[in-house]
Amino acid sequence: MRLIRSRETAVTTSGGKFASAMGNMHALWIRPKDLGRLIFNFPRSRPVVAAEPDQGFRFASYLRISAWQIIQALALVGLTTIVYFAIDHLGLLNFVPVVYMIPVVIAATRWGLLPAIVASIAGFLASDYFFSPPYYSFVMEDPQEIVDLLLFLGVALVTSDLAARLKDEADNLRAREKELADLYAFSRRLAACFTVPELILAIEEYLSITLGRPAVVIAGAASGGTGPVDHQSLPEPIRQQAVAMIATGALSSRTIVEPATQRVWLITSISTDYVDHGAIVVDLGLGPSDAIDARRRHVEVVLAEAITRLKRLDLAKAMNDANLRVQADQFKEALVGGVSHDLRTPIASILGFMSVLAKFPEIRDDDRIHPLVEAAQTEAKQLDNVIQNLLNATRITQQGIHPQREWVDPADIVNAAIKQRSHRLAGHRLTVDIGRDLPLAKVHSTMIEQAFGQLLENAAKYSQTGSTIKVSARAEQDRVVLSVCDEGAGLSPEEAQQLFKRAFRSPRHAASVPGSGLGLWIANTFVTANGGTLEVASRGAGLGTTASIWLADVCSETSELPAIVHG
Amino acid sequence: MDKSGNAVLLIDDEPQIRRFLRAGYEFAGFSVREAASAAEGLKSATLTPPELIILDLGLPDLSGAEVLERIRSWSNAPIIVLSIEAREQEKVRLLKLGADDYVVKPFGIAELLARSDAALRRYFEGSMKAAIVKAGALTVDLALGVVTLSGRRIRLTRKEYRLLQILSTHLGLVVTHQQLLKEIWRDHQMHNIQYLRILVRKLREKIEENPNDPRILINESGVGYRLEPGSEESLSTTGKTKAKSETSV
Repeated sequence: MRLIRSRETAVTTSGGKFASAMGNMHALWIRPKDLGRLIFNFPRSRPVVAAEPDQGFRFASYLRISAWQIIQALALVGLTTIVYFAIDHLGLLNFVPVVYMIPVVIAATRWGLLPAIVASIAGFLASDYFFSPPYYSFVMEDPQEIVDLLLFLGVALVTSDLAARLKDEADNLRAREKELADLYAFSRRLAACFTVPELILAIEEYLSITLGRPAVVIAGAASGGTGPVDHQSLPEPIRQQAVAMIATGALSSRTIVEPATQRVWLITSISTDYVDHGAIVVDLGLGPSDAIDARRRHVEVVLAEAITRLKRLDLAKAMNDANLRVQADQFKEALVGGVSHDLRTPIASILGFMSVLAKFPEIRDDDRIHPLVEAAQTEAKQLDNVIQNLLNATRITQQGIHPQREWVDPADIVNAAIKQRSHRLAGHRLTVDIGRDLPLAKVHSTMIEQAFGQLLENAAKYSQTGSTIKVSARAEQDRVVLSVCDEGAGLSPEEAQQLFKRAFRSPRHAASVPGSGLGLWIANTFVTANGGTLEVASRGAGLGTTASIWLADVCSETSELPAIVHG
Repeated sequence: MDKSGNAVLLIDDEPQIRRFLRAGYEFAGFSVREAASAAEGLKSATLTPPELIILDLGLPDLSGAEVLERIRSWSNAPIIVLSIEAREQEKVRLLKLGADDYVVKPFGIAELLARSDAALRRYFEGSMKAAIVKAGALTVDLALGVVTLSGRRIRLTRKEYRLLQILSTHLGLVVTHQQLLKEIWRDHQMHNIQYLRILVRKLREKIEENPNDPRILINESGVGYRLEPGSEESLSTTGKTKAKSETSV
């Protein structure tokens, strides 16, 4: 497991537009907004969940902002007073304090409650000082004036509160709208990701930009770490903890606190049902627990969206992989077909040359050399059989089989198969028992010969040299059974189950006995295509095997035929 | 049989196959000519007619069947076909078109030489109708209609004798099912191959030492039957050479 900077891998996969933007990307964490504009076309406004500075700094800045807003509110009140002075001689207004509602409402809607309250009180005092007799004194003579001013103050305060609330609502709405827009942009961005590394890069970038802090993906086993380990963006203790937690495998989502700075880090796995893509480590920063929670929720929403997409990518990848496998199979078929043809001619030549060599008296009569030539012939024949099997398998897959069935004497099939495999059976004791007056079978004779030959071959292959192989052909009810019985390796129940699968090789023999695993599959295909059944039975490993071909389409009225035959 | 004068024409586009065929035929006393294409082969066959033609079916310029037909249009010289594919129907078609026999690649030279012997024998002796045919322990006197096995006379039914007679006149060569059905049952039972199977079984019971392991009346899967001259016959013609390798199991 490694820390990855997957954005670097994605540069190579996502093409030119991205690559050019990545030119000066080493400062990614430092200038997230620039990157945001570059990639997401985000507006320049401040992020939804604003990066919160350290607490002390934040309080100071809050005071600074509030003071500035209060000064602005006071200035507005001052301005209102001056303007009113300017137009006072026109005698347009009887009820002065109403004018001060203007700065109050402005302050409430622009800067919030506190500046509005300050403006209300300032307006109340200014109205009292400048416009209620005695002028330029806070003393009020007219009780009506006192009631009016107090009423003004009450209305201003209530208005302040309402306007400020309205402002907060609007602010929230704007923030939520922005958040939704960002998420929408994020899902659009996700939809454009066609590989897992691209997607992981997108998550990292999006979180880094919106949080204004590092978000680093630590690759799981499936992703296979790429790129250099990113030591810069994660503090060492956090990185170590994260790696340790991912290594346990059972990680879902949890926060840890960095001991040195008390910053909170969120570690969330980004694994789907199919693949473990590792985990993402996000810096949630400092602050009150509700702010941390809000950020955490935001991250989780983003990740949920991303994981949905990731699942789809996994599925697509699985389908793509399956597709590739099919293509590979087709390629293999073509290769096998072509190669087999090309191999058969040289083998035919080799066998030809060998057979000519074997005729020369110098070789024929030399007891040392003649067996060597014969052995070479046997091996070449064996090789030809293997290639024949490959060719058959290719042909079956590509063209299917079209047996031309006609009446055949089962004895001829057995004899032809024995002759075909005589070189393989030479080392064994062979007993042949062919029943009398067997019914004829309606089959494509060469196919059944080849299938039966394969059974003989297997019997020879998986039994000791010198052991007995019993071959028999008999009638059983309405069927003819051709069987081969050996004293060899037998079959375990698991092997018996998988025996007819294409290219199945038992692990017991895979290393010691050569073979392609095609023979029995071809035999079964041939027998089935001829309306027969292939059965392989064994009492267990090491207890020998009996393989039988049951031919169903038989002509049992052979006893009636002689009339025509002799007639 | 004296084969020193016999010329064999090898028509095959694979030089390595021609090479071993040449070695084999020269060893057996033939004079060998080669052709690497159908055009070359047809030209050579027309200019100096050979006694025997070995024709590969996978020629690049013309199909084997076409070459066969063209040669057959003016020559009766034995033609043995070499094929890679063991497709029975193709073989039957070629035999019908006039090929004397076929061997399927890969094959040993002994097998091909045996076929060549048989084809040449039939070619040269066909007009004389050899009266006595020997196949292993079996002797068929075609003139008298007498069949003996190891010197003992055996009785055959009319159809059994007819079958043996046809195979005897093609000693060592394959005779297709259709040909046998046609000649034994005339046109009545042309498609009833099971009659032929049973007839063969009956005949084997009389002429074979072990009817379940026939050595004389040999089945050619999907094509027909062949009366095997047997080891005694081959000893008399090509010496011991054929012995162990191909014929016996």
